[in-house]
Amino acid sequence: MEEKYYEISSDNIEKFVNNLVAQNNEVIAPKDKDGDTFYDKITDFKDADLNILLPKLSFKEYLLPKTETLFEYSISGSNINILDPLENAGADGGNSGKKSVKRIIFGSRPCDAGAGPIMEKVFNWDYKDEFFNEKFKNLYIISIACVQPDNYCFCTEAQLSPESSYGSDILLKKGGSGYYAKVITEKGLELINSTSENAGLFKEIPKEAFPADKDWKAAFDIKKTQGFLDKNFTSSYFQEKFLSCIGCGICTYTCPTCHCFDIQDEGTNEKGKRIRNWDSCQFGIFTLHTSGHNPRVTQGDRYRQRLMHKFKVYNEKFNKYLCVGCGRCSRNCPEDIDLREITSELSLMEDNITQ
Amino acid sequence: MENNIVEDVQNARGDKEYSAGGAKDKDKEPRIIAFVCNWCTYNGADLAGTSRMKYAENVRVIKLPCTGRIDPLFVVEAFKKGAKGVLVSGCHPGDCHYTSGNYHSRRKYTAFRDLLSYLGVDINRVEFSWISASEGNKWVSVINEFTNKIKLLPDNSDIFSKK
Amino acid sequence: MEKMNDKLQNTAKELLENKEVNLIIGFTKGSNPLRMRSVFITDPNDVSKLSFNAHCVQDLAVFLKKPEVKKFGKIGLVVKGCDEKAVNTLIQEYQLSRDNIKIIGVECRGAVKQNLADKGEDSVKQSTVYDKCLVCEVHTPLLYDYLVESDEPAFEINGDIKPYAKIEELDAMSVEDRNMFWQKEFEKCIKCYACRQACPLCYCTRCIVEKNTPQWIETNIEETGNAQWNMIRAYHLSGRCIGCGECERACPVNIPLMLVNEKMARDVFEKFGYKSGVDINAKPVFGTFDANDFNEFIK
Repeated sequence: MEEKYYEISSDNIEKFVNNLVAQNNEVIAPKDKDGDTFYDKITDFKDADLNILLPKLSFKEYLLPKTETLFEYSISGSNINILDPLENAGADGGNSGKKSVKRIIFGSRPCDAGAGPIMEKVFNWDYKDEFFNEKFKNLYIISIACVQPDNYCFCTEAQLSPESSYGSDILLKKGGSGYYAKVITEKGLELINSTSENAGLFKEIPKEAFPADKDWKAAFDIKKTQGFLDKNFTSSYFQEKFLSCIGCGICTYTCPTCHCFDIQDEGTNEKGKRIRNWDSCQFGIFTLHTSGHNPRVTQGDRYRQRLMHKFKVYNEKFNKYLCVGCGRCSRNCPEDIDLREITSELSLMEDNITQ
Repeated sequence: MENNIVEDVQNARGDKEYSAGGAKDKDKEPRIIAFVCNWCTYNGADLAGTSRMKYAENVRVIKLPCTGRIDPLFVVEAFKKGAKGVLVSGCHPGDCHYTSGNYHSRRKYTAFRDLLSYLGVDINRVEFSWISASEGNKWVSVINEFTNKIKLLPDNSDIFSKK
Repeated sequence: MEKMNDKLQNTAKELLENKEVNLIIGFTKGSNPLRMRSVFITDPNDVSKLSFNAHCVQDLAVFLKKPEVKKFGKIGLVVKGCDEKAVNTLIQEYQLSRDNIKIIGVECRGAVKQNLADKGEDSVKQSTVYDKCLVCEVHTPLLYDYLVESDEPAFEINGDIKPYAKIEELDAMSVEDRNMFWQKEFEKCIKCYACRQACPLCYCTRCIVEKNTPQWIETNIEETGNAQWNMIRAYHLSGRCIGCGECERACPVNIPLMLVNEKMARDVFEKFGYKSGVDINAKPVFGTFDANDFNEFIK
């Protein structure tokens, strides 16, 4: 659809969010929890903590839950019942299973918003993952542009920007009497026009009145990082650099785009379920073969895999980097491994082949 | 046809009869799992049986070589599967067939018990006893007392009884 | 600080030049001025990278379990007092030979909480250091081959401080309330197992959660699986945890794991008079017994 532009005052945005809550939508926003901010359900606009740069975890769990039930079974007497979540809401009221509630993320950042369509590519590349798609279809994203990224952010380098609208349904920018709003998708328009009261809160403006993006400059060229990765699979760089990696997997679990999962069966003779759980390529057991052989035997191999997947393989396949540059992996790493530093370092090394 | 096979297998394995919990057992009496050592408590229980002593039928006995072999994970597993109470029992101090298995076990369970309680599991759900091969009477009284205690416990929702 | 760094660098240089060790693991400047990170040095000319300050939060003993690091053979390790206790425990549990390690102990005056440092906190004060630093008895490591003395003054402790105050609070609660408290905490767990990976004493090549015949610990990242994992992690560390606090620091969702670890350490001390990581010749507390051990809970 053609993008539409609006202006909305601070008071009205509060009314708008509270209306969305009142309309029985699940509204998720950055929320303070004991001194740190996480995406969580809010019941009032005042619960949202919009001053923070980024919540500690992304909202990935609303697209790919930490644990998702694929089916449940129960056996009673001679009856075997299979409960298909594609036909029934999940036991947790919709987070698992196909039937998903309408969920609105309010106040996400452009990097987090960008993760949705990037993940969608892999979940629809071969098999169309109904579990993901159902949730993605019902996820409405209202993001707020960043003003000041920090030292770990590198969205501009990752081909987005602090003001990018990629993946958002509505992008808000601070200014004027409160915010300027850019409506990118039909879903965004649907939220604004959900009631006449909501529609009245927004004042349509011409495109020219919407503040232009700043000229964000990339500090390094991510294509060169890819160039290095193309040519240096066996480089000793990986083994040396990631001696300090303890393989905790925080980088992958807090990453908005990492989407690996592990399928497990849990249950007894009487009832049980098949589930998929978050998994991480940073674990030694991730690639361990039944024979005992492990093709990725060192942590260097494993972190190289992460870099290769994000900045080489995914781009070759989907023409998009599997990274939005949010910098969570660097901020949360207990051993201070900084992805921005690494990608930038690699981009400079592109021409000196080290193998 | 297929369903019959499943039922046959279940009957053959006695799944329904002996599963520690599950939907079938919910309305019934609380199930208690007793992990006992091969040399003392098991024989004590045996003595109670051959002496035709009657005790609460809620208990299911699992025999292991020694209390030293009874990993706290077994207790966790029993709770996971729906047991309401778990008893760990072995030889009196000094009587261990393997010299010191019960001493080691006592240390482990001292800590594990504290941990369970600290994490909010009602410690009344776990019981420990030393019962020798000649103490059929003690076995009967320990089981009966423990069963009565378990029956009086409120239906709480600690970390094992969710879902 | 300068004097400290000089001594650190000279010690490391000497060790590498004399081929007494093949690798030095120490601290170097990190991704921002208030963050430090580990550095692995094999070349004596690189020792200038080494430095130490109040932001050296990591426990470098964690690397001793890594197969890639073990390959180096003799290792020189820079440790604070608390971290050094991990080395002791590894030696006690036959995971490390005393001959294969040169301990470069540094006198530590307290480490600034990383979440505060990330917000710009740079001073070592009662209110900015970790709880473990407030009860620290090992500002000077217990065991070392070389000692780098600190030229910083100790921070002042004023008033009635109660580190890990929540433990007493929890002890006083009813069992239901404790259950509620922990359920709320464990709910947050995302099972990234960072607590395990960051722990210098979690060295099993195959963790209990990775064993699936039988599957002892449920794999789901929901109430049951999370509670079982957190319980068994704490149990496997009771009597062993040396209180470096790395699990809690690493946890991306802020579960107060030290409340469990510290409680178990206190219990073990109370019941068996054992403190972990103090004496490399002592038997691990659960590797031994006493005929007169606590017996009151047994019928």
